[in-house]
Formats: sequence, C-alpha cells, structure tokens
Amino acid sequence: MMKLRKLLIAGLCLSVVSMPMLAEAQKKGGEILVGMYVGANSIDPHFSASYPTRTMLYPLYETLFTVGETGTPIPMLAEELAISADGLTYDFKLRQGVKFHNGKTMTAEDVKASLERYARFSPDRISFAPVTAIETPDPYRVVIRLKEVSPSFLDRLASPTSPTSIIPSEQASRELNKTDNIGTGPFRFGEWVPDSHMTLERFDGYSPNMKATGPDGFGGRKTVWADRVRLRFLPEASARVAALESGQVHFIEDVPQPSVKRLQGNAKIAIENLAAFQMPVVYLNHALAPTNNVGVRRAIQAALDMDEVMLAASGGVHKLNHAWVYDGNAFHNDGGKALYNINDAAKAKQILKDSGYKGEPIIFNVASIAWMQRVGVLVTEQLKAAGLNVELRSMDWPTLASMANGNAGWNMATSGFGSQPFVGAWSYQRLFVGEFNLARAVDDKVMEEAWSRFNNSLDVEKRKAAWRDIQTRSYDQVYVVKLGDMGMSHARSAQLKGFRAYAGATRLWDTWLD
Amino acid sequence: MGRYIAHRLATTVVVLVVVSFISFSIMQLVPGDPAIIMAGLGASGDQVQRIREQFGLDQPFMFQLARWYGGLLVGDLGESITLSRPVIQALAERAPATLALAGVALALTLAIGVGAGVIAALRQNSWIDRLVMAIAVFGVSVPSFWLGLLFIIVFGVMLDVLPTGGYAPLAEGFTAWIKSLILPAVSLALLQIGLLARITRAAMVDVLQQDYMRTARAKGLPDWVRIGKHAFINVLVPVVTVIGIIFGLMLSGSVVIETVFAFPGIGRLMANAILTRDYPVIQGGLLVTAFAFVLLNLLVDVFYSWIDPRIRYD
Repeated sequence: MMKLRKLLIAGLCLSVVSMPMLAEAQKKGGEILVGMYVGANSIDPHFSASYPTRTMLYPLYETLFTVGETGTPIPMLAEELAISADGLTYDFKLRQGVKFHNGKTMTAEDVKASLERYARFSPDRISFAPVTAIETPDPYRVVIRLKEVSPSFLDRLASPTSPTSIIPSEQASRELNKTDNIGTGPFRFGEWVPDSHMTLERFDGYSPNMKATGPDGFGGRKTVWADRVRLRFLPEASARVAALESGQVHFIEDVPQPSVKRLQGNAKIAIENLAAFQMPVVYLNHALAPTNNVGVRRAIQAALDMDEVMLAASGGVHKLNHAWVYDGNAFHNDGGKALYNINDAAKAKQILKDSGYKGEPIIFNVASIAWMQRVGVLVTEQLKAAGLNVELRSMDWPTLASMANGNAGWNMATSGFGSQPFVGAWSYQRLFVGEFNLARAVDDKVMEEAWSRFNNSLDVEKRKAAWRDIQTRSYDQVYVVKLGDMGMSHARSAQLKGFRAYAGATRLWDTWLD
Repeated sequence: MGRYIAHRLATTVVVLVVVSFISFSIMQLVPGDPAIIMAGLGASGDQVQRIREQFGLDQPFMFQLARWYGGLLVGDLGESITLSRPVIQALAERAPATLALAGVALALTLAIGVGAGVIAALRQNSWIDRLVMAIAVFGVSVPSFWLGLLFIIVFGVMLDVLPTGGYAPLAEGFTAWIKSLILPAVSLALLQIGLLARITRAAMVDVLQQDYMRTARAKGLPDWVRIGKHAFINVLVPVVTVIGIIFGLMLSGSVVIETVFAFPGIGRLMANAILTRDYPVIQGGLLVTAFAFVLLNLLVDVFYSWIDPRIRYD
C-alpha cells in the first residue's frame, strides 16, 4: 500500500489539558458518589450514547480513535494510522500490551470482531457502509478498506454518539445488551440496576496511553484514583441538590440556576460550569405555508432577540454563537454570522411586508421540556411583536418528533442539538440534506453541491470551505434558527478534586477524593 | 365461596382481555412513533422503517393485536423496544421497589389512618377530632411531590438522618432498606391517610350511634370490648373496601414519588415507557396493574365474608 500521508500520532497527544491537576496532590482510594440527572436504557458497547450513557460507557470501553477536548479525533487504542493517498485504506497500528478487564491481551482479532459487531448493531452503522474489508495482517495491525472515499470516516470511527468500542472477540457474537461489559477502559464493570445506580471499580490492570501526558477528552493518559465510583440516577433536580448538600453524593450534574446561586454561598460546594452542553434550535418547515415562503422564514430569523431567548433557555449559562459547531472546533467559521441575532422587529416587519405574508397562522410545536417551554413562550411573543401570527402548540417530545417527520401540522418546532456541535460538521449531513432533512427542504442544489464537495474531498481546507458554504446556505435559506450554545452547571463537594467539565460526558478518571 | 371465587377469576380474565385491548388500541392512536424516537431527528426513512420492521411495528393493527394476545396465552408480554429485554423481566426487576414502597405506605396508612379516624370518632367534636380532621384535610390537599421535596430537605439535608433518595434492597440490610423507604412511603401515604381517617371516622360515628352499641354500654361492657370488638368489626367493612382501592392506587400511582426519590420502580418504568412510546412496556405494565387491581378487589370481597358472616356469595 502506498502511504503518502502518514499520521504520526504521538505528538498530537501532547496538547492535553492536564495542567490544573499538577498543582494538587492526588489521593488514591475511596468511593466517588455521583448524582446523574438521568440513567440509560442500554449500556451495550455498540448502541447509541447520549451524554449520560457516555458517562456510563466511557469508563468501561475504549476505541481505536476517540475525541479530544474539542471533539477532534485522537488515537486511543491505535498508536499510528496511515491513510492511503486515494483515501480508501486505513491502516491502524495498535498499542501493544493493552489488557481487557478479563485479563486477555487485546489484538487485531478483537478489533475486527468488535467493528463487525458495531456494523451489525449500531444505529450509526451507516458509517461502515463504505467498508469492504477489515483485515488483520498481524496481531497488532488492522487494515480497513473502503469502496469509496469517505473523508469523515475517521471522525465517524472516533465519534462518541455510538462508540466503536473494542471488546474481546469472544464477546462480539453476543446479541444486543448481552455482553458481559468487558472492555479495556480504566474502570471495570460492577453492577447496573436500571433507574437506580451503576457501580464501577478501578481496573488495576489498565494500560494507559503513555505517549500522552494527561487526559484529553475521552482519550489521553487516564488515571483512576478512586477505588470505586457509584453513579446514582437522580432525575429530580431538587433531590440531586439535596443529596449533594447532605454529603450523600460528591458530585451532581445539571443544577438548576436558582440552586446554583444558593450553592455558591456554601463553602463546601463548588460549581463547575460546562460552557456548552447543547444547542437549542427552532427549525422551520419549508414544505408548508406560510414558512414555505423564504421571506417569512427570514422575518422570523430577523425578529428574534437571542440574548433574551438564551437567558430564558439556560438561566444564564450560555453563549451567543452563530456557528453549528462549538468554539475551538477546526470547522468553526463566520458563515451566516450576519444573519444571527439580528433582533430587529422593524426589519422583520419590512421583510414580511415584502414577502406577501397575509397573517396566515404559523404553527409552532413546542415540546414539554422545561427549557423548550420557556423558549416557546418567549419566541412566540417576540414573533407576534414583529407581526407574525404564531400559534403555539405544546406537546410531548415523541409527538413533536413524529409530527416533524412529516410535512403537515407544523411550521416551527423546538429541538436541541446535543452531540452534533460537539462531534463536528460531518454529523449535520442528515439534518441539512437528503429526503428527511429537518427543514423538509427539497431541491436545494446549492446545499447538495456543498455537501458533495464536503464528502468527496480529502483536502481539509477544501472541506472547511465546503462546510462554510453549508453553514452560510443554512442561514440564507433559514433551515434551522440557531438560538445559541447552552451550558449546564454541575456542582461538586470541595472534597472531590481534579474534576473538569467536558461536553462529551461526566468523566470520573483523574478525579480523586481529598 | 369456591364457586364465587372461580366465577370472579373467570370474570378477571374478561376484564384483562378488555383492558389489554383498550391499552393496545389507545397506544396505537396516541401520536408518536417509537421508531422515530429511536432513530433520532433527521433519520432516513430506511432507518425508521428498519426499526419498525425489527419490532413488528410495520404490521397491520389486527396482526399486532393477535400477536400480543398470542403471547399473553403463553405468559409472554413481549419485548421492550427501548430496553432490549422482555417486558416481564423489566417489570420483575422493578417490582420489588414498588411493592416495598406500596407495602410500607399501606402499613402506615392503616396504622395512622384507621387509628386517627377511630380516635376522632370517639372524641367527636372535641379539639382532638378537629385536629385530626384538619391534618387529614392537609394530607388530602398537599401535593405529594412538594411534600417529598420538603421531607428531603428537612430529614435528608437539615437533620441528615435519612437518605435523600434511592432504594436499598433488603439484601443490603433491614436498616438500610427501611431507611430508604421511610420518606417516600410517608409522602405516598399521607394523601391516603387523610382519606382513610375521614372514612374511618364517619363509619365509626355511624356505628357508635347504633342501638346495639347503646345496649353494649347498658350491659356495662368495658370500653375496650365495646369499641374494640362490637364497634370496630363493623367499621371494617367500609374501611376494607377503601383499603383495596388505596393499595391499588399506591401500586399504580407512585410515578411522582418514585421520580422524586429516585426509586427504580414500575412507576418510573411506565413513565419512561410513555415518553419513549415503548408500547410493549406500556401495555404490559397496564395489564399487570389491572391484574393487581382486580385481584385486590377479589381479596377484599372474600375478606368481607370473613369479617361479616352475614355476607354470603354462594
């Protein structure tokens, strides 16, 4: 195989964000008790992973590549990767001496079997559609061959939305949810009681990535200090806060902002803000009048005051950002920025007048999720002030999602992008283009052409340019109105040290009890 | 009595067939497609269709219904769509927490509700009566989730004597088990305590005015015999009727309390199933709940004849 581009990976790992913990002495032992805001329905290594599921899965499992602090792919179980000039062959050299929780040493056969299981069960198995073969020329080499160029293949392989977890080959034939939860992660599985708790135990046979100097996103050099971690699923926010205040847990996720203000006065508790947790949006239906009129859509875009809307959504932990990816992502750009947060009712009225809008009702479906309800009411009032006849309809999430899958019964709908802005540009494809795009847009040749460039170029700069065009087009045609980047406040006992909030999940390695 | 029980059990089967048909039909009418929820926003038609096929959701209504009834005949409630496990297993995993919660809450309801009602009746129109009834009205009126949170703050945070949430199975020791149950059980029981106290008081007041009670007093029977034997046994009939309903409500209506106290029970299972349109779990859960209701009412009816020999069903 001709190797024109060889990625020597070790250097990438030197950029880790491990400095804060150097100032404090770590302590081994103890049990870290965590109050999560929700549990999971499945902890299968190859099924979908929301933020809470990732918190449960990533201590147990690792992947060939994973994502770093800003969502960029970095190596984990792979040591080196060589991609052929034609982009059709991915040659991974594995780290040697990596142990599974059952004591077995990981080899290429385990990787092959795991990826094949992923291709059977993962909701994102479409990522493996271009794969024609997975070969294991020696015990520490895995070669993946593609039938067509797929520049986002590495992003997909590293994506935490449905992780390509490596498990022992003898476990790979197990059906969904039937594995023994054996991986190579820094923790080994204890027990999982759905809707109650999950326990994790330090894996003393863990093989850290010694080429890294510290933890980086889901990768880097991970160290477990606690003997055990107990994840408790506490869905009621006030009960979570009470559990922290009473010392029954050391850490809680998703603290409501009124409680944050109160906890800030407690010297035994520290607030940890996660700057960007999800991206609240309102998407518009291009297939149904009156939002099939681009003038009406642009008027909606022009009328909204994102400062107010995001304050209502988040209670204060948010940032105004026009881009579809978070700050720091390599694909962040200025496309469409001028059309974000215009906040000009007079301009909106003028656009409406020019569009020929006659006051037809605009159906706004709002899911019965607390922040969406707040956003729904505020957006409705702002749009009414600009002359739009918005009719707010409240419903549960399944109803909203099902209606949005068709063309009728809605003009606007609330949603939140969770993993997409974190994992990157490639993950927006199914939302912006194709038959089932969120906006129900049809025959948008400009959008289709930009995605085609994005998907067929191996040149990163060309892909960035294509992505800029996609983002610009999404603003120009008003596919989805982005409201901002919404954060989340966590809180920890002062006893818990080393914790760093991360958009990917709550991480329990490199934290310790003082 | 044997024939009566057999007849009632046969009726139970009919009730369950009807309940399962209604729950099955209603879920088909409710908007929201589990396949779309699982596939996520922007999923292609192929992806959604694949999930529908995987769980048989693409089949006609009558076919799905027939398959559902066919499974029931062999005790199979189907496979959960989101949990990837049999519904019966999901329910069995969560039953201990719900049964423990409802059981302790019922015990508290009986002890406090009946006791308070009897005392209020014996001290009719006194300050004790008025205090008991005022507390009963408070119990009936106060929202259980608010009370639960208040208990957590007072007993979990301020006094730090009880856990703020979570369920400790008996395997972790009796003390841990009962401590994990006290706050949620009291929160769940308070509404029913109020109801039961009012019903018990009304029944007791009525019984105390009966001629035979006056006769018992004239005979010079001591109070404990007069109240404990002659009055109380007659109060039991309406009280037992209510207890059957109360226990059923506790089993099925603990969703809010299970959420507030992070209890891994059937209530939370059902709430999550509704939010994800996990039809098999919703249908299975409704069926099991309906079965518990019917069975409890049958037990109550049988109990009637034990406490009042005049009641005969044959």
